[in-house]
Amino acid sequence: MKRVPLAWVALVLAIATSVQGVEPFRDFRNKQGQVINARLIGVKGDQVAIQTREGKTFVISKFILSLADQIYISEAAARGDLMPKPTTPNPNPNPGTPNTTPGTPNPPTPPVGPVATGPATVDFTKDVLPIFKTSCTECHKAPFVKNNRTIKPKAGLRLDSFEATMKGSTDGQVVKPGKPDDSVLLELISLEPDDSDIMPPKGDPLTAEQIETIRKWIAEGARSSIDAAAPTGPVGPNPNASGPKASPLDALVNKANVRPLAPGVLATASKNGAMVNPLAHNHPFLRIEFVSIASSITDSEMGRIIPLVRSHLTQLDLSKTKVTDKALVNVGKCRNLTHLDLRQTQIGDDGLSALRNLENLWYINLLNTKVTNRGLSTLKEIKSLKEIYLWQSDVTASGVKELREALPNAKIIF
Amino acid sequence: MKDYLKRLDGQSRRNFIANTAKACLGVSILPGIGDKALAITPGKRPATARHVIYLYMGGGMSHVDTLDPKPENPAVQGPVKAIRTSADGIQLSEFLPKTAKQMHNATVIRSVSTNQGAHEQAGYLMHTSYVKRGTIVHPTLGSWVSKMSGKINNTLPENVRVNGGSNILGAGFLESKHGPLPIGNPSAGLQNSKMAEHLTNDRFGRRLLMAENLNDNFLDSYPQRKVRAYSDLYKEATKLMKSEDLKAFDLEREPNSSHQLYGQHRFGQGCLLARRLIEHKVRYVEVSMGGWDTHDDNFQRVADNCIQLDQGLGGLLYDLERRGLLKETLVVLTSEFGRTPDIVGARQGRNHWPKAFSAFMAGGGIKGGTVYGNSDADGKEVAEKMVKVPDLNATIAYALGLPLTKVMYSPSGRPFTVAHKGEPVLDVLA
Ligand code: HEC
Repeated sequence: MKRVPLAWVALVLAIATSVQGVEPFRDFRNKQGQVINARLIGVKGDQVAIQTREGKTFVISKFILSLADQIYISEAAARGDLMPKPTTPNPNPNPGTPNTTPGTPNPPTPPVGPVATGPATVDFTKDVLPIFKTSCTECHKAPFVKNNRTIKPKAGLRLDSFEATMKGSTDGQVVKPGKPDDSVLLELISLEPDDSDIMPPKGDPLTAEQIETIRKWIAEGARSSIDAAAPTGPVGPNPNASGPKASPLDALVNKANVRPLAPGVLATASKNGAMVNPLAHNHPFLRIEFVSIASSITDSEMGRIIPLVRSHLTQLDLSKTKVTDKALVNVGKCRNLTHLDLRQTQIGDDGLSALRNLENLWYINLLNTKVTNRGLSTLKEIKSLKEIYLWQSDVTASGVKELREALPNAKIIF
Repeated sequence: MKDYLKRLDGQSRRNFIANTAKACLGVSILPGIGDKALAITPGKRPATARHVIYLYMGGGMSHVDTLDPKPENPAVQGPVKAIRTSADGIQLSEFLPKTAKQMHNATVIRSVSTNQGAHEQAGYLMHTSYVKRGTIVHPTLGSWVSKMSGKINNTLPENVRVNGGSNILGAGFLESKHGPLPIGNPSAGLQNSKMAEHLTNDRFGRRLLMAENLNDNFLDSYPQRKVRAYSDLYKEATKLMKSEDLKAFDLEREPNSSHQLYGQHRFGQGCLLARRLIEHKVRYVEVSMGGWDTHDDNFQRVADNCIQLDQGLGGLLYDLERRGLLKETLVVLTSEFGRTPDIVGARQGRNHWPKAFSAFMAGGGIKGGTVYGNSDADGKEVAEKMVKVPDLNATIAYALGLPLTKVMYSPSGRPFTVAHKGEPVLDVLA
């Protein structure tokens, strides 16, 4: 969801004139229901250029349009009768020279946001939320019913609490902690007042001071409050937080600051039949599982794979494998591990003790393992745990009771 | 069949069976010889659900007697009472006591609405998100899942339908391998030689044709005994599959307590099979149950049906939860439409009612213990937050991490998307 750099707008305009007449005029509808009659003149990645009958051209993110329009655009782009063509894989054509190849305009990479360190000066509840409440929540709050119609928050984005703000919109995060220049929210409030995408879309734009307050809040790590820990912690999983969670996975991605692994590394890791997959297209985090071949997986396999992907591994499914407690020493070093499935293995208490330092572990499945009450004392220390499965293990009701007292917010199934 | 196979040497025999199994069943025996691997989550968002168990109540399940009771309104409700559930403030019908205990893990959508009031058209819309019109045959949601996302288990089909009955919807214009593998009777597993009953001639023919391409001699030698050959092949192929995965189909491996939990009836056994399949990483399993077309004697028949539905669904949710599998398994219960809240005449029946009815979703990233949308006091109209069928399917696709705007073309060049133009109901997702 990056805004279009000016240079690219100019380029699209230039191209637009050369391909007039390709697509018919039609109504485009944004998610707010506003309609504009225009024709599609260019598509690049998520950005589209449309032109009105008066010849005015707009470059917009396709995500602000209705799903029907988005589909129309994908179809048109796929038909290939639009210039420029959808982005080619070539990441950087002719750097430095004027870009004369239509179809491969290359937006400059956004500057990296300042690293947030030191004490925060802007407080979300005291300084930022009041701005949102005055200028934004009219349209960005929890769904409500008016005249028998349900009014949903615009773009699925709610700005009425810290959690909701961090959760973002239908299309993802709008605030990237520590990275104001990558934060869609800041971008939209900083647009020129006559820009059709500016937020708020009607009424007075935010003042320069208000914008600076929000920029600073993001730069300082977008913390929930002044006292919250620096960006290495603030929006991470907080088992004690109530209400809607700010997509904890997104927060962890931000905090982890890892890039997607090269295909070669993934191929090496998956050599002997391990399934090693990113959580989504281009996602930096991985899930590893062993399907069909689980019974041939031993500690040595784990010793080979895990060091290759240690910082990227978030979900590990070892169910039905032959791994022993020893293998968990390696697993315990995967700091971004959130999901560990040890169902139907011979794992026991000694193995668990190696997991003590995992700070982001949310889910652990110990169904049908050798874990006893002694192992639960390790789990008590993993405060991030939200779900613990212990059916058919060797723990007892009294052990589980103590565990529940230590982790009152976790779901413990026994 | 057997003779023919005996004439081949060991290697060709295995190849023949492997190829045929692949062609007929959409199953590849050796991991990795299938298509180029697709991403498991092809969209830009991580999935909250990796598996879907879709429980389809064929015939039109009365919403006011199941998921949307109207205890305040006796004229509509008749003799059926509402009961409390494990979620504060949410009531279900007294016919669903076991499901009520799992409500803290589920959302009920009480504002589903369509304008399709005939079984076939409404079932078509529910499965495909498109209105049945013209010549094009649209793929079912499970077929889209198979088309768009990679297999997790290479040995097993990605899309399975249990108790399919006469419902022959499948891959539509997509390659037929994306259509569901039909399991007629869950208890018989793959050994069920009546399997072919559930394949139309056309469909059977198509699959056989693919077998033919792989092995020219096949049809020449056994043109007239297609059906027997098919079921024999089925047995052969499945014997060859790696036993670890084949076990998924074998309900006899379940302890007695499981059978008790899910119920010794077709629907319960179907739910049990579904759990085994998703444990083996099958992506999409539909289990259907008929008998909901209660124009006559509605209350008795719904009560009877609910014994199976409640035991199967309640057992499934309970079992998935204690195994830690509910987190990534989205369980959906719905029907092609609801039934008239007005009780029709002396027959104590209810007729078709598509304007407002309900769906139930649990696990796989769904918020627990909530109701989304509402029907009015009579259960007749959507009072708030209407959910169209494409929206419902978009929500499922969204949870699976599928890109909703990705366009696929029919062979005739027409564009389609996974959930038509539905908007996912993000409020039901945690
Ligand atoms: C009058 C209603 C209204 C107000 C007030 C409003 N917005 Fe919006 N906002 C929208 C609409 C509508 C969209 C969806 C964009 C579109 O479809 O054009 C949106 C989209 C956004 C998005 C983009 C979400 C995405 O992922 O695309 C952000 C960020 C945003 N608004 C922030 C704000 C902020 C910050 C304020 C207050 C300063 C604000 N909005 C005030 C209506 C409003």
